[in-house]
Amino acid sequence: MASYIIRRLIGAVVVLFGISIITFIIAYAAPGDPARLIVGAKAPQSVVDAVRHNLGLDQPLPIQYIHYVGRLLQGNLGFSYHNNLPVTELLGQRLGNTVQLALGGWIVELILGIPLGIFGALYHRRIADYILSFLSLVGISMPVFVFGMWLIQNVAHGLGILPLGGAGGISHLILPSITLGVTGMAFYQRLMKSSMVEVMGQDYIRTARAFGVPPRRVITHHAMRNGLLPAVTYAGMDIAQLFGGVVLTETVFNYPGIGQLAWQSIENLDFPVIMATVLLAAVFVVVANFVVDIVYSVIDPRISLS
Amino acid sequence: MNNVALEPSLSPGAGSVTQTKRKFELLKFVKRYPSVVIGGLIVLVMVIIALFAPVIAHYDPLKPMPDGLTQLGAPRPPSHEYILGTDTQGRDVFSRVLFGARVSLEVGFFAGLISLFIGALLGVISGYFGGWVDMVIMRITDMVLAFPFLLFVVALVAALSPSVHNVFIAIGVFGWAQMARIIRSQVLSVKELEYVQAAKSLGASAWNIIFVEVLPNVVTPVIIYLALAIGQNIMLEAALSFLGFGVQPPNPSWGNMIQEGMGYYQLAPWLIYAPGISLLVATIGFNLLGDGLRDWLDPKVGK
Repeated sequence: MASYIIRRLIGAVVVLFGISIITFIIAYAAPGDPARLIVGAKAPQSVVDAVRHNLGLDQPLPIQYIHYVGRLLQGNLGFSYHNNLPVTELLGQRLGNTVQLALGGWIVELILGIPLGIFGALYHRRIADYILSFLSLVGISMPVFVFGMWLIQNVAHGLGILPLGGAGGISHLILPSITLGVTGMAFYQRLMKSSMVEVMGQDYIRTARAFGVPPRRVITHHAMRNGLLPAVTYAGMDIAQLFGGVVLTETVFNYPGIGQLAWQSIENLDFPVIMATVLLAAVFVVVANFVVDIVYSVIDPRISLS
Repeated sequence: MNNVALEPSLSPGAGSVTQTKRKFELLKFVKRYPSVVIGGLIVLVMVIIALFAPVIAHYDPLKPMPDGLTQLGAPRPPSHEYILGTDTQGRDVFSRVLFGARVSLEVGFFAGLISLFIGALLGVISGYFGGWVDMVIMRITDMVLAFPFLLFVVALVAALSPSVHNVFIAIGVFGWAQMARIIRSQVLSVKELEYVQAAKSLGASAWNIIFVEVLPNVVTPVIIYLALAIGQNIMLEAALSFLGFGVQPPNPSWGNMIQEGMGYYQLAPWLIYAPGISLLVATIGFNLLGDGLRDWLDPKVGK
């Protein structure tokens, strides 16, 4: 177990290094001179050169990368000249918003996806199942920004009950969470249904039924324990991805989170922020991957870590 | 011939017997795999629209119509003349939607091909040669799967400068990881089969075995995956254009049309619904086709 954890940890660190290198190369390849962006278009060339030198941008790429990683390890994510703030502060302002929205969306996904999946499995190949499958297909195929706009137009504007966008309290979270939840729940529905169909066909369920366990109890106490496993794994990965920022939903609802920050910084070629947001998102995914693997082995003793 | 004797009144000639038989089989197929048929039809319609957009469209998608705006300068709602109304610049929305289908398919297809090529290459090498090669490739694959996908694609497109080509290159370059995994697992299961071992013992070279014996067995999962991937890529392209990093105005793409219409959703909701519903239907089509093909072609999914 210990050696497995250590190996996974090393693997996680390697993945993060790889991601930092690729982000760095993309940032380097991008058009536009960061020094020129900082001082403005009117500044004389000598000032630009001085800034470039001060920032170490005139050094070879590998050296720049080493300096970048060195600063990262000290917890210094750089400085956003566009916002005139240290990147850590910028992220700090928005991380709370994104975490709230991510949790909101995640909860809607789970509340809709898991029961609908179980329901679909119970009515497998009956009309209710077909209707649900079609709805989940629509959910999977629905672009978030189209659904978000539809909600803004028909609920926020049409009914006039919820704010059109922005952040601040529960009321601002409802529509974006529904947007995330409805487009994201379909995957849970499919996953849950196929795993429940499989579990319900197993011998131990038949045995439980034969022993006269009430049908409802067979589902809640026997089938669901195993049927939930794939959904649990996916839920862990899913929340990690949501924490990394939900670019489209945040953009549609003008919600000040990490995703919107990432998008704006790409638009402004604000590289310290781009690299920080990408890295942050990757850290969430890598950590979740790691935790899910460990938790999984605890829930399911059949899986041995080696 | 027996059939002819049995139903002479229904089928005067042998030719129509095979025809009814064929019709019957087709009906059976439609009933058994409705998603292949419906998804396939949607995709087919989309391909036709994309190919013949200039013929179908009555108006130039880029040119504002002289009577395209009302006297107050507002977009015209859907009417007999402009089926899906006009946009804020007085251009015909229907023509723009048709040409948008072109961009969507182009990006979806070519991005899919790029991911397929990279994924197939790495998946085959990884699965066939195994050992440390496999380990390195699979770690890289894990890494790519851990990427915040949309952010990476947006960043790469921004770095390369936004254009249709760069959109499909960026999607393709980051989208191959799932493909590599699928192909690798397929290769792993095929390479131990007797006929591959036989080819090996007859002295066939590694690449010969890969191309002649292994790759044909990978075709089914690849087709299924490609259908699903094209659907996803179409959605991604729309997302990129929506964010302003994809197809640049005035050229139409469903994503940038929705973005342009966003500020006018009360005044002119058709600006969002026309491209939005097209996007939804196209994605449903490819997803249905992919799911249906899986049911039909993949024996592992029990029917």
